[in-house]
Amino acid sequence: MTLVTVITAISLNDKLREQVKKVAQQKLGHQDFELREELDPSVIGGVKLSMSGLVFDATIANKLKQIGQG
Amino acid sequence: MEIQVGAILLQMINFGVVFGAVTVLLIKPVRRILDERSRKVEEGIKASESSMAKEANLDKKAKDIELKALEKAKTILDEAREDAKERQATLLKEAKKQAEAIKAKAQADAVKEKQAILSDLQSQFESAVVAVAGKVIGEELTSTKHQSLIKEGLKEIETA
Repeated sequence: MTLVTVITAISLNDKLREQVKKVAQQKLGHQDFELREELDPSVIGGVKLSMSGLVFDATIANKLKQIGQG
Repeated sequence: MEIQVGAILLQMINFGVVFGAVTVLLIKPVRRILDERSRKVEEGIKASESSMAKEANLDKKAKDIELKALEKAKTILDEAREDAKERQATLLKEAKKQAEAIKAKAQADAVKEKQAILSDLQSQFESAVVAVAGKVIGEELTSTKHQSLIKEGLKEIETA
């Protein structure tokens, strides 16, 4: 079973959790995964997904970091 | 006065005998000794001359050897001076090369250090900017806005 970690600044509601699962399924290509939710205020906003060595970072903190590096 | 012929004859015979005896017993040995002595003196002179000639020859040889030794010493000294000059030039060249290499390395290190410091400063500045911006944005975000940002993020990930 694959472990999918979702990091956000606030807790996910059911609707958002479902959307996260949908995206994880689309990225993994299967439904055999376990979702682990983590709260991290340092991401400021947005969402970060980690699965099977892949990281998808769509957080405000990452965007600010990219702006800073640009 | 009467001339005594017999006595004269006797005297003459006597003289002849004495003369003969002196000649045989004294003059001949003395002459022989003198001749021997003269021969020895001549031999001594010849030996001395030969010895002097040999000595002169040895002196000449010694001077030749000394001259050759001096020439050889001069040649060795000249070669040593040349070698020393070449070695000095080589050492100077190597020292210059090493100095240039050290200088180049020091310059490269300085540039690298400067870049590292600038990079570190830039990183610190970026971190500070992100922290400040994050704090400002975070204070402005409501729950609804958070949810909206998560939705947008998921869409972004979906299309990535």
